[in-house]
This record gives sequence, structure tokens and C-alpha cells, in this order.
Amino acid sequence: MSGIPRKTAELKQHGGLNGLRDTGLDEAELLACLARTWQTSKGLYGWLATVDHKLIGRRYVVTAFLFLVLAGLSALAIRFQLAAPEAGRISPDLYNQLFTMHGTTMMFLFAVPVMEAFAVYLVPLMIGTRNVAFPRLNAFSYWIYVSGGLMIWVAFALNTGADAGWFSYVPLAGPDYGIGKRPDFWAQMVTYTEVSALAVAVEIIATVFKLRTPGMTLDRIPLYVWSVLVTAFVILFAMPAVMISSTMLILDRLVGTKFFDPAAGGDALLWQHLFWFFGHPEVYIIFIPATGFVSAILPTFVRRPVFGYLGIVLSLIAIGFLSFGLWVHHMFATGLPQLGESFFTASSMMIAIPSGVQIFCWIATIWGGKPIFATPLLFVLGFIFTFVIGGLTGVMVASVPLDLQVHDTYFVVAHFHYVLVGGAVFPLLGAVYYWFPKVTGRMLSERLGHWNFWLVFLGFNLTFFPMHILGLQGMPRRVYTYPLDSGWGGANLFISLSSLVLFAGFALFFLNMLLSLRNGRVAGENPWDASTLEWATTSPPQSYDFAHLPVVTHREPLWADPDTFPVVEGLRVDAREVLGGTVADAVPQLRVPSADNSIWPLLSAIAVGGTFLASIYTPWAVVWGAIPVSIGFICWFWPKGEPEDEE
Amino acid sequence: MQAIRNGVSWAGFASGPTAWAVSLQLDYAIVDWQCYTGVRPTVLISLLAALAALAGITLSWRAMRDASFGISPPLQARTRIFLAWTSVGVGALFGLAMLAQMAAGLIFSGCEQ
Repeated sequence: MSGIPRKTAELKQHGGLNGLRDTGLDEAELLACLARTWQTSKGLYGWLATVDHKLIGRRYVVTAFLFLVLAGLSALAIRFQLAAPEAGRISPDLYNQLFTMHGTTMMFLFAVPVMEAFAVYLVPLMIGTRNVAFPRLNAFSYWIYVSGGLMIWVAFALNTGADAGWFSYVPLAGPDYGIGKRPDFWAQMVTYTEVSALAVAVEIIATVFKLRTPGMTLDRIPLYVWSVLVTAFVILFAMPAVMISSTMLILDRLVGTKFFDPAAGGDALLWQHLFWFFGHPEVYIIFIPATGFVSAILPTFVRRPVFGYLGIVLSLIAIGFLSFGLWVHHMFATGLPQLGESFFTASSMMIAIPSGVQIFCWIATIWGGKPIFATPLLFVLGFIFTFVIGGLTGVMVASVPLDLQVHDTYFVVAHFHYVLVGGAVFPLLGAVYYWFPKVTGRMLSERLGHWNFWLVFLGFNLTFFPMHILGLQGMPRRVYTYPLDSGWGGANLFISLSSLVLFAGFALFFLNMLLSLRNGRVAGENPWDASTLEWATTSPPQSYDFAHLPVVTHREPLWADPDTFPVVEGLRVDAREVLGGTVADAVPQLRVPSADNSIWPLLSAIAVGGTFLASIYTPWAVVWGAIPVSIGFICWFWPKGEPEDEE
Repeated sequence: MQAIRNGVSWAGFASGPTAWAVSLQLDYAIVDWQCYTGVRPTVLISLLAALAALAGITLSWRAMRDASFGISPPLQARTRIFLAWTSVGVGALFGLAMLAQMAAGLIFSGCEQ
């Protein structure tokens, strides 16, 4: 009998504590035991059944970037068509599908999932635990997400791509005008992705509140973790609105309900209210984690703690709340009473205050530090520049008179790309450069990184800044072409050529990753000499994240005490176990079993996904689909005599 | 009573956003009615909501100044002060948002389309 099973048997025989603990084992025994307990089995089954947050986070990121490529190629096709006036390179019908798929993919299949993916990967490492809360739900969320994305893109390939814009307004998407099953695929894709997003939100909230390592009080939580916590709450309250509205849309189309039909007592504006009650917080669901990236990257590369921790936390929370009071500013042109609109102008203006507080805190951090201009910091600086421009135009369109002038023009296209690409994608690219060494154990090339940054930064600004001018000149959005005598041809050609520079920047980004995966410099545990806990473990981290859970005594634990850490002892090593603590002070309360690998999340996701897909064609699918869905969930939760089922 | 004396660290955090959410919904919902009747309750609603936020801010401020542990929640002093500061800031921002709403109510009658 080898050492570890023998010790377990001895403990049981002598009626000792339940299971083998990490006390009294030498380091080699401990690591071997932890590796065995937390491992993902080899082979296809292991790959499909894993609940390791790092593996799931990684595949989430890869999948989201694949969708980014598809959305980017759609954008290139759009620019190819618009490069010349009255061009006939792409038919109006295909053009409608392309811009809808571009927006839908960017918002639902790339931006939100990629932010959640980073959270799934990083949060347990940053708060010093071994997995997310509800690991199987995490696996389930990924399978649901990927099936929703595949569904809508397969539909597009079959000429059933959504074509009513990423917001799918009625009556265009309703039963009278929606073409074939196109709006139904859009609406059901929303259900898939929102179920997935809600699942991740629940996990993140539970993980951050209950699984923080001892000592990580509320005022020591890394700012990135604060940002994803706030985001998770925003998801929790925003996403149900769009799930309900998209279900109502399907019901109108499939069953003949009249939710959005004014002739039958319904209300077309109800769609806009429900959609934008989700749609505006959606912008912050994407933006808030990006600010978390900035707050994580900045201290490392200016070599000082972030200035105004309290102010940034306060701003994150305030933005999260305020994001729910802005939705009507997307509807200023619908003829609502001006007093009603003014309330939302007030909130829209107010959100500039916490956003400004964050910007000034970051500038103060840079001001008081010694910047090292590595690629992640370049992307952060690029973010500040572009986001400030996007924020300024945001304040402009929050004003009713100006919004009425530029509504549905390219000015708005320019504005939201500055906010979303400048505000979220720039920090995201910086985050990839920053955490790539942790995830893969290899450094990305700095030389290619600098080229990557400048191509993306210049390409982005050259592409989108002229759109402000085109919008002010009156060029409308979502038109597949424009007249020869409009005078917009030159600017559009310039924009289309500039988009190639942006495309080259992203191509270099992917090339850098591929090359560095094979040939990148070996990273080591903490190549940037950063301060947060994820850098206290190996690169890439082991399946169990930490051999001993660290105890935190400082907001920047690795800077305060770089060599020695107090650690937690007493956790089981022969079964998956994490430490649960109090919400505010992270005082340890109990040892919590953590779920083992299981195939049931995948099988349940197949049952749920199949039901969603079939319900596009018949409402009876909901009834019959409930059977396999119930079987999946019952088997998932059925006690199997594993350690996680023990009292 | 003890809560009023010693303060509640999270009070501003709860009162500001809640008062704002309620006042925004109420104000927005009664615009048509305001136009019809000619009275201006939106101003009053926003003002009362701002005062509710102010009450929460005051409680949070007291919790911050309280040298003892106050009544709830039983937190470490550092965490409590952090929470109280956050509450004061969040409450103040939402108070400001409601005053801006009130200003809109002073300018528009509700009948302008």
C-alpha cells in the first residue's frame, strides 16, 4: 500500500478526522495527493467532463476569440461594400445579415463571454481558492454558450442569419416583417447566451463572497475582482429582461401572442423598453471588467499601488447601479415626453462622475509611479485616450437635442465603437498580454506586442474617428450603400482602408500568441513582479491552484511579503475541498466540498440546447424537451457516494 | 434607536440607490398624469428621495465616526469604515442624481413632446 492511501486507511481505522488532511504530509506527498484529487482525466472523456475553472476559462476565451474573428470578418465585408458609393458587391439582404451578425456576435458571443471567461479563470486564483463555487454549473454554462453561438452561425451559413439588427426591433423582427426563421434564431441565441451568462454570474458572486482566502477583507479584494463582482450583479438583474423579451418575441411569432402588436392592444415600444433595460447595462457588463483589467495592470507597470482604491470601488458600485437608469436615452427619438427623457439625461450625465473618478485615479497612479512601457501598459494608455473620447461623445448624445440630430447616424457608430473597443477591447488585449504568461507559462513577444499595439491603436482611430464626421454630415447607419453625389465616398474609402490596418493589428495579435505558445520565453511564477495572488503559484497553475491556500495580510500581498506567506492548514487532500468564510471579513467558517468532474453538465446542456433549438419550430418542444432536461438535471444532482456528498 | 445613535455602515449604500430607483420609476410613470393635472409631484418625489438618501448617508457617516463597533454588522473596524465610506460616497452620488431629476421637474411641465 502506498503512503497516501495507507494514511487515509489509518485515519479511518482510528476514527480520526474525516479524510486525509494537508497537515503532516511532506511536500512531495502533499503535491501528489492534491494532483490526484484535482486532476482532469486524460482523453476525450476527461476533456468533456472537466470542471477545472482554468480549463473552462481557457476554452471560453478561445471560443470567444473565434467568434471575434467571425465578427471581425463580417465587419471587413461591410467595409468592403461601403468603400465606394452605389457599390453592388454585397446584396442588401446579405448586408443586413452581416451587420446584424457582426453586432450580435460582438455583444453576445464575444464581449460578454470573454469578460466572464477571464473572471472564471482568474477570480479563484486572485482570491486564493481552488475552484469557483458551483464548478459543474460553470461547465454547463460553457456548453450552453458554445451551442448558442454555433446555432446562430450555422443558421447564417444556411441563409437564415439574423437580419434585424443586434437589438432586433419589432415590428421589423415581428411576425409581419421578420423573414423566415431569422429573428427566431436570434431570439433563441439570446436565451442560450443569457442562461450561460447568468450561470457564471451566480458562480462569481458566490465565489467572491464566500470563498475568499482568510484575511481578504472587503478592502483587500483586488480591484479586478471587485469589478467582476459588480458586473455579476449587473448581469443578474439585466439579463432576465432580454430573456423575457426575446421569449415574448418568439411567442408573438410562433404562437400568435400580441405582446408587440399595437393593433391588438400590444405595444411596439415595450420591446424597446425591455431590450434597452438590458441593453444599456450590457455596455457596462462589458466595460466594468475592462476597468478591472486596467486597475490590475496599471500598478504592476508603474510600480506602485493604485491611487484611490476606495474611490475606484465606490465608482464601480455606483456605475453598476446607475447603468440601470439610462436605458431611455436609447429611445430619445421615439416621441416620449421631454420631462421623462430629462430624468434619464440626468442619470446619463451623472454616470460621467464615477467614470471620471476612475480615470483620475488611474492618471494619479501613473503620475505617482515609474511607468514601464511594456505592451500591457501601452494598451491601458490607449484605453484612457480612446475611452475619454468615447465618454465625451457619450455625454453629447445623452443630451436630447443633440441626440435627435445624430440619432441613427454614423456619429453614434463612432461613439459606441470608441466606448466598446476603446473602453473594453484595448484593456482586454492588454489583459491577454499581462496574463498570457500565467495561463501558458510563456511570455508573448514584446516586439510584436508593440507593433500590435500601434497597428490596433492607429487602425482603430483612423477607422472610427472619421465616422463622427460622416455622422455629422448625415450619413445614416445600417444602409448597404449611399448615393454617388452624397460626398461621403472619399471618407468611406479612407475608413475601409484604415480598417485593414486594424485587421493587420489583430492578425499580429493572433500570430504573436501562436508563435509564443511554441517559442515564447519561459515565464516563471511572477514575471512582471506583480502584487496579487495569482502570481504566487506556478505558471501555468496546477489543477489545485495552490498547494496551501495563502493567508492575506495586505492589499498587495506579494509586495508586502514577497518571500513568506502564512498559509491555511487542515483542508482535505484526498477529496476536493475549499474554504468558506464570512462575506465581509473572510473569516473562515467551514470546509466546503467542491464538485468533482462530471459528464452530466455536458449532457444536460445538450438536452437544454436541443429543447431551445426545437422550440424555434414548435412550442411543444418545451413540453417534450422537459423530459430529457429533467433526466439530465436529476442525474447531475443524484448523490453518487462521492466525498462531495458527505455531510 | 441604537442604529440612529451609532450609525449603520451600509445605510447610504442601501438608501441612495433604492431611493433613486424608486423615484426614477415613479417620476417617469407619472409624467403624463402631471401634464394632465397641472401639479408637479415629480419635484416633490425627487426631493423626498434625495432626503432619504441623505438619511442613509448620515447613518453611514455616524458608523464611520463611532469608535465602538456599532450595532451591525459585526465587522472588523477597518472593514466597517471601508463600507461606511463607500456608503457615504454612493449615497451622495445618487442624492445628486435625484437633485438633477428634481431640476428637470422644475423646468418641464410634463406636456412637452
